[in-house]
Amino acid sequence: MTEFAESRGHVGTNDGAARRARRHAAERRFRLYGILAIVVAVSFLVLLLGSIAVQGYTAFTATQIRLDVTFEPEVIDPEGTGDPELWAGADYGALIRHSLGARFPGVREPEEVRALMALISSGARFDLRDMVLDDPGLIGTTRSVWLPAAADIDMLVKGITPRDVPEDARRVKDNQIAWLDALVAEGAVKRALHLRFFTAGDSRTPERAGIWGAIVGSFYTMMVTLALAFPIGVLTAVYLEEFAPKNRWTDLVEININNLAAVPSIVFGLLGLAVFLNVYHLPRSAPVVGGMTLALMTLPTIIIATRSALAAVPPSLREAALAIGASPLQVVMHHTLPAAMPGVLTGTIIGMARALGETAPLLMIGMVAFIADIPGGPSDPATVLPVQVFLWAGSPERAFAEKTAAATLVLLVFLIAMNGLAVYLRKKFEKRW
Amino acid sequence: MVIDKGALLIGKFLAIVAVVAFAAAAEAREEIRIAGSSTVFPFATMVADEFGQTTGFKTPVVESTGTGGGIKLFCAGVGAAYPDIVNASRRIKESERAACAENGVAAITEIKFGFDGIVIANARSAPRFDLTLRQLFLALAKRVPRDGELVANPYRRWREIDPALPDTKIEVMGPPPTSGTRDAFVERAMEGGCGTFPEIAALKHADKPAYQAVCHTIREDGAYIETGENDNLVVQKLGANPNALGIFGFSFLNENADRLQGSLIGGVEPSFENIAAGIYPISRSLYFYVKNAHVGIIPGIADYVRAFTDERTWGPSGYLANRGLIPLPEDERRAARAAALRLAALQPAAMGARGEPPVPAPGVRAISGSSLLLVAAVLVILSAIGYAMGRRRALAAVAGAVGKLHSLPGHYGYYVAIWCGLPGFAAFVLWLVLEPRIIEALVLAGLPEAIIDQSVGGVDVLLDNIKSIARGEIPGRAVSPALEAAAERYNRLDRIGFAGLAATVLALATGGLAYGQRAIGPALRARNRVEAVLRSALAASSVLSILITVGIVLSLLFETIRFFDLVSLTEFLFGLDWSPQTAIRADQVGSSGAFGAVPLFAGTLLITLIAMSVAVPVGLFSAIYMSEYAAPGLRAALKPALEILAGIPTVVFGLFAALTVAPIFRDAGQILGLDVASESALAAGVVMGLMIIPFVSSLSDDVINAVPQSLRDGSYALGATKSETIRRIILPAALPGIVGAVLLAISRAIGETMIVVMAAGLAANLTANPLEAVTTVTVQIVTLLVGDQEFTSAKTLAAFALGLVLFLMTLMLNVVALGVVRKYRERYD
Repeated sequence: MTEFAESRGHVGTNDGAARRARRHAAERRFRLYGILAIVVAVSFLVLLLGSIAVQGYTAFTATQIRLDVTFEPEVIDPEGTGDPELWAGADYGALIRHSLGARFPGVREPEEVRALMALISSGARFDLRDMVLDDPGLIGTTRSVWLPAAADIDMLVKGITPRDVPEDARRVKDNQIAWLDALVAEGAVKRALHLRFFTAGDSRTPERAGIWGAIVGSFYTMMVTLALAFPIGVLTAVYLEEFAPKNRWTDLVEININNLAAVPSIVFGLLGLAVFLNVYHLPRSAPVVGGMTLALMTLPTIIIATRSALAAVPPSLREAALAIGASPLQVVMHHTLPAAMPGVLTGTIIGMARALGETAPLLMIGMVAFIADIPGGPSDPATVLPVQVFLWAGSPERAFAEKTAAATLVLLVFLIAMNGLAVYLRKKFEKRW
Repeated sequence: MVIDKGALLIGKFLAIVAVVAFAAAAEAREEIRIAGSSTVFPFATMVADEFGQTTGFKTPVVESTGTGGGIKLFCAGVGAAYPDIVNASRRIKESERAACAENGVAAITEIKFGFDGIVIANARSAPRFDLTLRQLFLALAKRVPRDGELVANPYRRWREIDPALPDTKIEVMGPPPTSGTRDAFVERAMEGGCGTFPEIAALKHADKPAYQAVCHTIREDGAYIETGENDNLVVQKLGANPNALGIFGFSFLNENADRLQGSLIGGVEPSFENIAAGIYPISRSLYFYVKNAHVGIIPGIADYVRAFTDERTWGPSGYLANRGLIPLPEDERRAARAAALRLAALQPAAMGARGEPPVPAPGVRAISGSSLLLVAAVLVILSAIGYAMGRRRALAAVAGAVGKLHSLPGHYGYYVAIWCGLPGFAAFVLWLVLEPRIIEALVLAGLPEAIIDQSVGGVDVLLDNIKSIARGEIPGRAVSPALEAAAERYNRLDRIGFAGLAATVLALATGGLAYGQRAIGPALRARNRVEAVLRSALAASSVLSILITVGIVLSLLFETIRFFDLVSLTEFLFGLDWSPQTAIRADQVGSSGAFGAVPLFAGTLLITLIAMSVAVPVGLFSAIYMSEYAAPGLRAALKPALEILAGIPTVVFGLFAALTVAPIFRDAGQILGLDVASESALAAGVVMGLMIIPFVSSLSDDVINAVPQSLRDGSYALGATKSETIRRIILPAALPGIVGAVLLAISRAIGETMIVVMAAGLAANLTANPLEAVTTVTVQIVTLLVGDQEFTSAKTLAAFALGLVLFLMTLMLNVVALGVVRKYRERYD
């Protein structure tokens, strides 16, 4: 370098050194920009994930209250028929009422009894029913049972809603707090792992709401999307980049695809509604329709990413393959496409990630809905994780706030698993020319 | 080879997906379907949940579509494809009833089930407001009377209206004009306040449209902040901004009493008792409508209505009241309950207590999906056999000397497989597309003329009915013997058609197999033939994108044309004022220039610019750092980590933008002495920019990484530093890919809704100032589509027009972009 600088007579050695220093400073600055950009992006990600995690982790536990429940035969089977069909329709709330009444004998007024009952989840009666149906031997016995607390109580125990505001500003009243404290004092209140959140479908009672239905729905939807968008997208990209004659028609197709990427997602919902539901009469709210609609939306992303990945494969590779007698199709399938695979996978991941997080197009085809039953197949009514997040985020009940965040966490786990797979595949295919 | 085989398998898979989808369409429905208002949604779902738990019926599926969209679905027809019940936050309109009747939905039962109080609340940390309706009107109306004249609302602070009110800025967050809550608020509160001015009250009889225009128009200068239909967000924003007031449903106040306080209206507190007693002035009724024709067909409808109208559900101490529903007075409850019981009487006596669906008569059975699946499976198996046979035959023809064959043995296998599978597959697809049309035509031809002429709503409704009968969703005897016969005919034809299909497909497959098999010989150019087929498959898949475009244009076009019947094209394209609130009444449409789309496009541009000025530098530098500087291990971890950003639901970004970023900007602005709106384009744009980083970073990283190493080595050899190499050599070489990535990111930014709704609001200001609230085209599309207004009103139709215009505009942008890329594209090796 010194010699180089000296050889250019009018540039002195000092100038050369100064210039080198300048260039190196520019190099360091450039590198710093890169680091800064990464730091900005990563810290935002961490901040976002952190805030979700902080809000959501409480949803993985739930407050339970222990009660001594007597499975009174006169309540469960008042006519003594012994018919399990009838047991299902019995008033199990009465068992809880009697049990609470035995624990707090002073409570007599109907208003007070209702307040006392409100400590326990309104769905606890279904838990008792299921216990009896599972094990009819319980009838006539007294068991100590951990029942889920009502969401309002749960929020109070978790410290999410405050105790120290005036009584009329609280959903949990003073007498309820007194009863709760009495129960806490005798060790009849605990916070336990809330497995139900992962195994149940949606419910309007926060403490009974679960994410499993949405997970299954998302799984079916994504499978359909992937099965349609990936092959069609890659084939289209291969055609446009490798085979299509360069003429106006191809220009049209290319512009058209770029344009489709800019179409707001809800418009794809309108299209799905018009084509799949109105013309072909496919079922509303079904993952198969959701998947097809999202596939339409994801296609442009995959096509564009695949095309630029194919374009980036050095021409020498193609020429070498052609030179040893491969047909054009063999060149693409055996050499170009595998070489472009990392880019193809990136496009697919980004497109699928977007599809996984999308709600707007699903609105038009009926998947933004309250669906409590777990879908049994891709044509059963179902909802998806982001819709569940959206619906819970709009629910008035306070307890749904933590569920919203927790559902987002579950969605992220899905996303990370998907990305993990892509990273593995990308690593397998990646080369540097 | 692996990929060839993969492509073939994928083709088969697609066929199966299509068949499953089509098959599913034919199945009858067991659960109740409900659609409609997002305000009624929390209550209806609660009843649905309880109903599913306590009865033997499946839990009803409840959609949140907005009242207008819900009624449109509900009124589309009779049959399993249409909802049984619609929830409404307003009464159904006469025009909607007429549309219903036209589609054969004549008999519907209205059930009013309670009230929703509309409260005006603020944070507990601030002083409680005690407002009169007159003060509310003065604070929120667009024009107010002053010295006997109507002037643009001059009030900026509450104190200016009345010295007794606090000296804070007027800042009220409330629902957009598409919302039923807004409509009720305008009708009860605004009009109530408006009527206290004698000069305006006099207008009421003299000039009703003018009166309504004054009383019903809410100001759009930023004091009233339009938020989406997410009341929780308003609740949380109020917590962050003690000066603001929020307008929302009582149930949200009921849940958040520890954080919020409801303002007194005329000294009356918005409490459960006061709203129920009718003392509190701002409330509205909630309804649901039941399609009588579905009662007894879809199991459980009458039982659901009975459960809904039970005292334990909707009574003063029922579980809905606990969640904020204000019950009806007792006599109204009794009347509605009677209506519910009358509905139960519609149920055919034959139905069991558990409501088993009526069993179709013997011999009347539709083709099930599984038989279609079977045909597809046979086709796949035959093709696989064809592959094996072709391969073996080719090898046998040259006695195992592969060198003598023209193509590889596998190619011969594919050759036969294609001959076997393709014609059958084509027949299959053709059948799926054409069969329904043919059968419909035949069934119609067999019907007596009189029935076709008499049918309400025309041939489509008639056919729908026949199909519903054929599937056993409506008992034929409930309609007419002629229709029942037609349904039977329909099923018979369906069976014949299916038998024809099975025979055709099998014949084609075996015929193709035999032909392909015969053609095989060492000289057959199997590879060329197979590749020709595959290449046409490639070309065919690229046509799909054109089809999608055609589909999008078609699905937008008709409503757009209807919209331009109501609003002129020039006004829409060049109007500077977007204010859909005045358009709800027919007499004002078009007169006030309320549908000028310019502010929306300007807002879209502004937010996209902000987003890109975050995403492009951060994304591009991240990509450069990852591919050129970072250690491989670091890159492997960073890249997927950033890609997570692309998949987080946008609701989460929206909440983050609205509740974390926007307040930071507002506070920072206050320190710097700037007036930053609590909903600003800046907050939404920045967060959106962060969200689309992976579009730029990951895709650019891939193309940068794919630049041949020899280019770098050459540059280093000449003494260039790393950054010089990147700037001068690598980036130009990677430019087409980077431009593609940026274009994709821009597209994503244009299409984003949730972040903008939550953080930038819905107010259409024509401004280039990023510190003000703006809105975007897509946000308006979504808001208009899910609104409570009538679906055929200009307001909803505007969504389609916006979609189409946006589509055309991005099309032009892309034409330009393609030209630019062509010009600068360079190919290195």
